[in-house]
Amino acid sequence: MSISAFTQHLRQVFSHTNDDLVLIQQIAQGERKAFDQLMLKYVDQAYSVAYRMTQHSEQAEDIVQDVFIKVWQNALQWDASKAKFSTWLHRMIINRCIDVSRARSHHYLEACEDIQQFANNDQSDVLTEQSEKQAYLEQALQQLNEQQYTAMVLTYSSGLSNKEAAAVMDIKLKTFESLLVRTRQQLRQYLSQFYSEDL
Amino acid sequence: MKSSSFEQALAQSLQAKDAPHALKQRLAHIPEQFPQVTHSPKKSHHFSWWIPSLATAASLLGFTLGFQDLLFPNTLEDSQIMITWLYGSVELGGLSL
Repeated sequence: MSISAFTQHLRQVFSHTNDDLVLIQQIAQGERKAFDQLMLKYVDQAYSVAYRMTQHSEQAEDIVQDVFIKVWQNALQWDASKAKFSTWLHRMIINRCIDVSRARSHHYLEACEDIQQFANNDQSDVLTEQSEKQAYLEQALQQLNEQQYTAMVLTYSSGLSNKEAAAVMDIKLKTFESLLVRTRQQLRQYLSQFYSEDL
Repeated sequence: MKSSSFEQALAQSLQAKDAPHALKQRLAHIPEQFPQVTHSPKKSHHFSWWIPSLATAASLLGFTLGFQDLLFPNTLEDSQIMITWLYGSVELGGLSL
C-alpha cells in the first residue's frame, strides 16, 4: 500500500469515526435528524446480525429496536476512545441476542425458520442438490457452540473486518482468527459424513 | 463439497439480510416515543476555588463582628444576626462541595 493510499485509508477511517461521534453528540442533544441518519446507516447491519443470531425475524426486530432505544436514550454511554460506534452497537446486539437465546433456554437455531423451510422441502421431495447441501450446512451450524456461531455470524453477516469482529467479541485478533479456522474445520468434518468429496 | 463451494454455501447460509421497511419506520418513531435520559451536567471545577474562599471570608467576618455578641449577647437580635451569619457560611461551604 502506497503512502497516499494509506493516508486516504486513514482519512476514511477517521472520517467515519468522526461522523459517528458528531451524530452521537447531536443525538445526546435530542436531535432527531441525527438519530435517523445513524439509524439508517447501521440498521441493516444490526438487523442482519440479530436475525442470523436468533434465526427469528420478530425477535431480531425487537432486539434491534431495544438497542436503538438505548442508543437514543443513552447515547453518551458510548466511549469513542474505547471502541468504534459500530463495535459498541454490535456488542449490544450480540449480548442482547445471547440473553434472549438463553432466556428461551434452548439452542439458537431451534426455531430456525430456514431449517423448517428446508425440512418442508425435504418432505415434498423437491430438494435440489444445492438446497440439500445448504440444509446439511444449516444442520452443521446448529452444532456450533455460542462463541463459534457468533464468530461465523460476525464474519459472514455483518460485513465487519476480523479486527472489528474480534473487538465485538472482546477477544484478540489472533484468537478470533484461530476460532474461525477451528470452526470451519468442525463444519467440514460434520459435512464429511454426507459427502465423499474433499472438503 | 469442495473448498470454494463450501465457502460459497457458508456465505449463502449466513448472508446479510436487510432490515424490513416496517422496522425502519418503527425505529424512526423512537425519538417521539421514548424520552431521553437526562444526565445532570457535570460540575465544573473551574474557578470553584472562590466559593470556599468566600465562605471562609464570610465566616471570619461574621465571627469577628458577632464574636462579642455571641459571648455576651445583649439582645435577641444580636444572637439572631450571629446565627444567620453562621448559617450562611455553612450554606456557602455546602455549595462549594
